[in-house]
Amino acid sequence: MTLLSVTVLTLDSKDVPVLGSIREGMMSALSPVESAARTVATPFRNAWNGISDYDDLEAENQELREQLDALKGRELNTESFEEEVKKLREQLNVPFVTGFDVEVAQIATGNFSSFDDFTARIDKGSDHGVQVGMPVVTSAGLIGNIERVSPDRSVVHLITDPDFGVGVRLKSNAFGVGRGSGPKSPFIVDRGIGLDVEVAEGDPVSTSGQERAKFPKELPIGTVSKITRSQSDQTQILEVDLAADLGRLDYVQVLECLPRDVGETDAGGVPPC
Amino acid sequence: MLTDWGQIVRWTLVVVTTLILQVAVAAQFPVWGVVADLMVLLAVCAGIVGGPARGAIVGFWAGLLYDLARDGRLGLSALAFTLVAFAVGSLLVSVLSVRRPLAMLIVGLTSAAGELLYAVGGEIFGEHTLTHPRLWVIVGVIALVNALLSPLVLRACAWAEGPEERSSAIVGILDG
Repeated sequence: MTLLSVTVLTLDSKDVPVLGSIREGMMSALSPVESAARTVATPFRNAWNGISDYDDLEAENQELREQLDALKGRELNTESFEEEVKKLREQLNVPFVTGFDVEVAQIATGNFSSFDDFTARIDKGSDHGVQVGMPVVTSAGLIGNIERVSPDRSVVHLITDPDFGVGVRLKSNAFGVGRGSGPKSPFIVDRGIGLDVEVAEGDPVSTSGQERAKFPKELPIGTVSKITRSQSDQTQILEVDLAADLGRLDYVQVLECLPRDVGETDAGGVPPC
Repeated sequence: MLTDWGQIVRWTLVVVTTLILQVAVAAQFPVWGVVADLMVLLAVCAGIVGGPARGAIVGFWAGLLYDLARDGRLGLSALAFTLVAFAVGSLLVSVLSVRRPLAMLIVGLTSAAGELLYAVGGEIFGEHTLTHPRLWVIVGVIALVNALLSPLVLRACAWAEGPEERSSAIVGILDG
């Protein structure tokens, strides 16, 4: 049994296609169970979360009250309320994804294991045109890309994974490379930003869209929250607060484009990002 | 090895039911943000009830099915659960009888060991599991939840194993 396990592990690390197919089959087989469980369990789950995450909810409630107070203050100071409404409408229309078809999907279920923090499952799959590599966003910004697909389910690889590398662009048009640093931790841009690059806390960070990039340009990632200057590496390391709230994902949009190395070759008519 | 068809069917039923409960119940109701790991619980209980060989077989299949359902490295849970179920089965093979509180303690500790083994294996394969910021919370909660659920799962395993094949250790647990 131990040898068999090691063999499976070895085959999986070599990306043997048959194992991927078995996994897809399993994902499809479990999807009705997931859907039924989600539907039945939602009211109970909400009550349960209220009990088991009471401290978190209390903290979140406090934070929301503070945000509400701030918004009330802003509302009083805003010259035109209609302008605010217009901005909100723009947010809902996800203005940064113009040029690509979008497949709206919903988070299908919670993770099956506590170690699966860097993935999320959505309720759309290859039957809806979703393919491996497609970017996934919310109305706030980038959250990841498609890692695995079955006919009616897909697994999203989240931006919080330390292995998730993204080419980024700063307000000053400087380019760098960033990566996740774990759930509930900031996104880190730790390559390519020299000491001479002008950057300030609060600056927006978006995808670079450079040649061979996995994502279209100017997808919002977040805002710079901390800057550390490393004299030894002659670089600036930026901590970026993600624009999208990955702790409260519900509806997401899959952009129907593929990384350029895939999209330019064999993508079945899907445009490159 | 499993030779009796009735026994194979019963164990298959128990493993598949546990997987469905993992997906449909455990994943929906995290405890302090931690998803309970019913599959490692099943593997450990199979080791206690059926001995090291049965534990290894059930642990492997429970782990493999869990690997197929979850998003981690395929074969990692299978390896961790096989080893931990074999170990607990070997530990208890010569024990005449174990009382329920001790059995719950053993299940809790070995479930924690199973999770740690998974985390170590995951780190080797680049999964960032051992450096997970909530590793000890995950291990602790799973140990606690599995200890509490163990009387139920031990009964299910005793049913799947059948009266002739059960290890002597299970007698005291079923009697309380």
